[in-house]
Amino acid sequence: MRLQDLLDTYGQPELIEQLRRLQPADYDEFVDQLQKDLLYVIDLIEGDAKDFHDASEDELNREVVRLLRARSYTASHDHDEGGHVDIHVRSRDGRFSWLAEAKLDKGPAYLTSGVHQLSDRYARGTQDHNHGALIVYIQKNRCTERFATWRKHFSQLTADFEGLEVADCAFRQTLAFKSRYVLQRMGAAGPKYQVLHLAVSAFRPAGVAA
Amino acid sequence: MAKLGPQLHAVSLVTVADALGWGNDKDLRKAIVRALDQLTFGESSLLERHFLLWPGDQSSEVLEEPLAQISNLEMRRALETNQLVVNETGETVQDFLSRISVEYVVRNDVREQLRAHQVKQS
Repeated sequence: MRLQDLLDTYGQPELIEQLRRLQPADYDEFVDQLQKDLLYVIDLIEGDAKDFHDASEDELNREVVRLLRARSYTASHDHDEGGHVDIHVRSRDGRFSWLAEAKLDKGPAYLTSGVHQLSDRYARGTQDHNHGALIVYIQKNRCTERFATWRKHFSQLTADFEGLEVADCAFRQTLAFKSRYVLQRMGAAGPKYQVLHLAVSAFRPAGVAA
Repeated sequence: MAKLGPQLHAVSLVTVADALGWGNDKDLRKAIVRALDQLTFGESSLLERHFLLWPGDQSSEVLEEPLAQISNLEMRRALETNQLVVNETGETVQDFLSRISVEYVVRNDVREQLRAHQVKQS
């Protein structure tokens, strides 16, 4: 079989992305590609929001994992990582990992517990394992305002998260932001743990049939 | 896969396409590529996909071995840049890429399972 058959099938840009997923050169590349793919996965879920407006966290997490697996990731739900983390992704060669806690938007206190779970129980925080995400499923209207409330609340948790820094995200505008803080397990001399906060709008307006 | 037996080693697009009578249809060939990739990278991985680099001059000699196996990372870099191309030869990226074939190989552990299954049945 010729290489051209693969290029005909996928096109060069998609084949390059597939190869990047299969063997990323380094952790930054792994995380960059994963975050890009995660945005695509979220886009798919939001496109089918009517199917997810009353879905449970587990159902939504399983869908995220299913869609990531379809893009060649080694992804699992409820993976045992010193407890059962919601979404665990590792590179196919096992060198790199990324974790996410994913919560329905039940208010800032509930979401804060998700970040604590991620940071205090699951995250290793060592090199090549120091990125994660908090995915917030919003099944109500006014998604951006709700997420802005979360960002404002989280930004003030400097007593909970040492050295906390919060920054805008280049993608998803008002529906994502980045944070970095010292992981207690690692201490201040270690790399800060980096958490991408992502809102997923799974709201079905009244009158739209499921 | 079990029907193919433990002697099964490599799966080529041509053999699958011919067996299905799809050899000349470009869209169906693409479907086979996606199916083979699913068997390679999907949840139940049965195959490995290898990129093989062959000599440039294949006009008269019978080829026995590829020159090298190219990793996914090297393959990507070749597609993104011309890093792998030896400038002294004057070979273009397209020339280089045309010397690469793709082979799907049954994973060793799967082959062992098939062999054990065969022995058990006989």
